[in-house]
Amino acid sequence: MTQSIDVSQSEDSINSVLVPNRHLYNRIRNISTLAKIVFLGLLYAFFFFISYLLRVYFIYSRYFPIVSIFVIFTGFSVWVTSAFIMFSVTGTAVEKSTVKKIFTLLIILGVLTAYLAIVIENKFLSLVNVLVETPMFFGVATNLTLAELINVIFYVYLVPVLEEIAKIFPILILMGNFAKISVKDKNLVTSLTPSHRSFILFGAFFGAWFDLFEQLLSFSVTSDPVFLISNRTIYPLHCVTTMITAFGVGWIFVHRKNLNKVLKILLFIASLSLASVFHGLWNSNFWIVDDPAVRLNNIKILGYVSYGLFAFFMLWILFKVPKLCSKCYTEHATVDCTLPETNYRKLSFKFQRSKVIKEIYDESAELMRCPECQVVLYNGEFCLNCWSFPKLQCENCNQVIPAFSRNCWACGTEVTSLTEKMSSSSPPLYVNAAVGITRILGFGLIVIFIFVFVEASSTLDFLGQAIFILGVLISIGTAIYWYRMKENRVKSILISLNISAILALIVIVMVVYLILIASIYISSITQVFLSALALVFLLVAAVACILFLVKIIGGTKLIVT
Amino acid sequence: MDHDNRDTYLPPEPKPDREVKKFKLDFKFLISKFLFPHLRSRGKREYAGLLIIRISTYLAISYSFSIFFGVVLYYLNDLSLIAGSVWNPEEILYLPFLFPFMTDEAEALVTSYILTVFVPFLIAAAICTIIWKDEARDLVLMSSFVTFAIFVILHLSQIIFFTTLTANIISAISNMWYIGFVFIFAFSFMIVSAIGGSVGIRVGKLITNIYFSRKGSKITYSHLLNPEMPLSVRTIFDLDEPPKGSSRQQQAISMVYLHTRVVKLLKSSQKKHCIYFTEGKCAYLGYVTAVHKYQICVTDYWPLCKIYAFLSQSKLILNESLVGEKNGDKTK
Repeated sequence: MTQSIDVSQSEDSINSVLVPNRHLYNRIRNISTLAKIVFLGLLYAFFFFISYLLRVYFIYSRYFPIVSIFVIFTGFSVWVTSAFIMFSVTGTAVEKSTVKKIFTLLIILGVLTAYLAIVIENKFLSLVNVLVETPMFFGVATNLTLAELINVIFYVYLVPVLEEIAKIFPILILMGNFAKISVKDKNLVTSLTPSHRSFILFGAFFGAWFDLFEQLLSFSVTSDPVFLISNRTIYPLHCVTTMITAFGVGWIFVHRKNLNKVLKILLFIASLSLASVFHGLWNSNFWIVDDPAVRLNNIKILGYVSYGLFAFFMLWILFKVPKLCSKCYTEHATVDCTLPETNYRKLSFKFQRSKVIKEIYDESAELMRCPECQVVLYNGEFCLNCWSFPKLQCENCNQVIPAFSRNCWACGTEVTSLTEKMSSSSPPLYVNAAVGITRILGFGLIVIFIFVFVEASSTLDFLGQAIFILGVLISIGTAIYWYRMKENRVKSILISLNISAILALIVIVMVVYLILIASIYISSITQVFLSALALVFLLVAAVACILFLVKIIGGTKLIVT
Repeated sequence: MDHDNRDTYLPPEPKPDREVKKFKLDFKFLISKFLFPHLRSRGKREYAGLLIIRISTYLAISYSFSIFFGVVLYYLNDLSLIAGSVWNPEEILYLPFLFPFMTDEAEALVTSYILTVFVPFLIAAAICTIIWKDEARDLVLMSSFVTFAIFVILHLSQIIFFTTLTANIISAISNMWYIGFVFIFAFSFMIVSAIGGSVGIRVGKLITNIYFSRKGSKITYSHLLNPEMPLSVRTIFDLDEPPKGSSRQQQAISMVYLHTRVVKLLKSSQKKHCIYFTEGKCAYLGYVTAVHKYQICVTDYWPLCKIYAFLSQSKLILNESLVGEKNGDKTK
């Protein structure tokens, strides 16, 4: 009896940790929630008031650049704060502590993603320039319509897709990893993205970071800063597009056990293209529409649509309380979590094809009796029958020794343990390579940044760019500093995976770029031969990059402790 | 039956002599000794992982020094060229290779080779030797091969195409010797970086001998002659029972499944910091009990673990042998 009471109690405690009840919805009517919403309202009011003030009053002031940057930062904080406040009102303990655990990681990922996405844009800019100048090289007179067409194709159709991919990548990297958290004195291991709405939250976060950096950059380049503030800063464009993609990815995550691979890819492409269409529509105003009045009107309409979408996603975060599984502590559509069984099936399928395990199967002579219970068993880590100590037999003296040991303690000869045969403690090759490349790039970038900062007056004339580069410098420095800290090792690996993933995207873009240039300029046979040689290298690099990206999306299964 | 013939003595048969193999140069062994003389007893995959990360650190240090000296040499007055690489981070990979070719004069070429290739690799190797001692020797040759590969790949793929001023480049490409030129320069880079690295290792060893030498351990083990076991057993986590099958293969798979489960759960526990356990040297710290629990021996002083584990096991052997004698008594 006592035992059954204990069991029910423990189940109750687990349920109170995981399964949300009406209590969570009651929180919406709390005074603290009211205070949060009032604070948000004040923040919005302040934001719109100061952006209005900028247009009316500060435009003639000499403090104009500082106030503009302040407005841009305020916009960023408005979008991020509203998402996190909505999340905090009805957030379950598991979700909240997961976000708390990786918050610094999220900030650094956001900064680096924004920087590297802008680097991709920079690559595309040079590609567009080359393609526009190509007719001149062949002696054809510059055709304005052709140049415009190329610009439209790139800025309206290609750049949005690339930016959306770059912004969603940190979420894809986080998706396959886990966090160890303690909820009510209970240690749990859960996914870094436990529920659907955590995806939307992260989408809003990364989108807002990208928005901030892009605006700082365009502020340092643009000739009309007031237009930027009044028609770009006050709308959450990137925030909304990333949330659309993240919504789709989250839906796929929740239904991951029901959907097959092809459907998952199709759904991901659909959500990505939806976001890209919205983004492309926005960009088209600047490249297709000539009439300024029509352009302003279009931007306003799209801006209001973005407000609507933002409100929809905020309400979704507030009201869509997830039902977390009591076994894997994540949200999924199927009722039962068949974690051990499915894992077992997957593993058995994997191991049957694995060469090392197959060899052990084939040499059935290696199977030995457990000395405890005399059942013929695999010489593995544990006896399945009696669950006793792991055993192996020394090949030299036939002494039974534990499977973990490297030397036989009777005769001292080296024994290859099963752990060594099956796996190693080091992370896989692509993770190590990613960490390595990030180190090389990071150190180099820091040295270059320092020199660029020394000469800031001649190279960086604008405040926006300086702040932007300072943010990136700080984040890269932090990332490299983290390599030395043991407890943050997994976080640093995730950061370097993100950096190298976007670097891989850059390489893929460049391969396309170089192939295009080669096909335009090559005319003689020797050139064909030489360029083929060079293109082989390029294609090998591109294929390696694609394989790397596929591996990352598959999930690295690291645990943030 | 054996015990019927036990009075007749059967002398043990001599084992057949092993065939003496002809002496043959094992090139695989020689190359591995040449490249990685300190492979030691680490697992090969584990060592490969370490090597990649260490080579990257080594290259990162040498690249940053190379960029530093290059900027000091050429760009101190005009940083506009190098400022562009903030927006093209992949340019950092081939920036050190560009510095020696900035001038046409032979003296300047030699100076820049020394300042942007030899000295950075020397400094990096010295630093790495201070950190990793003898194992830093393994980094030098491999990383000079890596620089060779980077040089060739970047020059042949990018530098040829990566410009819009194509007219001059195309005329250069159309001469066949351009490829040879690239290979010769890459080879020179490889050799100079390798020499710089190996000199740096000597310098690093000198520095460690002067400043970071260890004055011999003064630990005595007298208090361990008759130790009391401070190990206490604690349950770390509960395990799911793996599905059992009738066939031997299924049993094997569920065993492997259990192993992966334990490894995954161990990762999340704090006990992974015991180096003897994680490196598989200590056998006795963790085990599975009959009630699906994973237990681990806990002590605050991990270096003692190995000794305690050995002693505890030797005690266990004694017990087992005693049990065996008792069993023998029973059969009598």
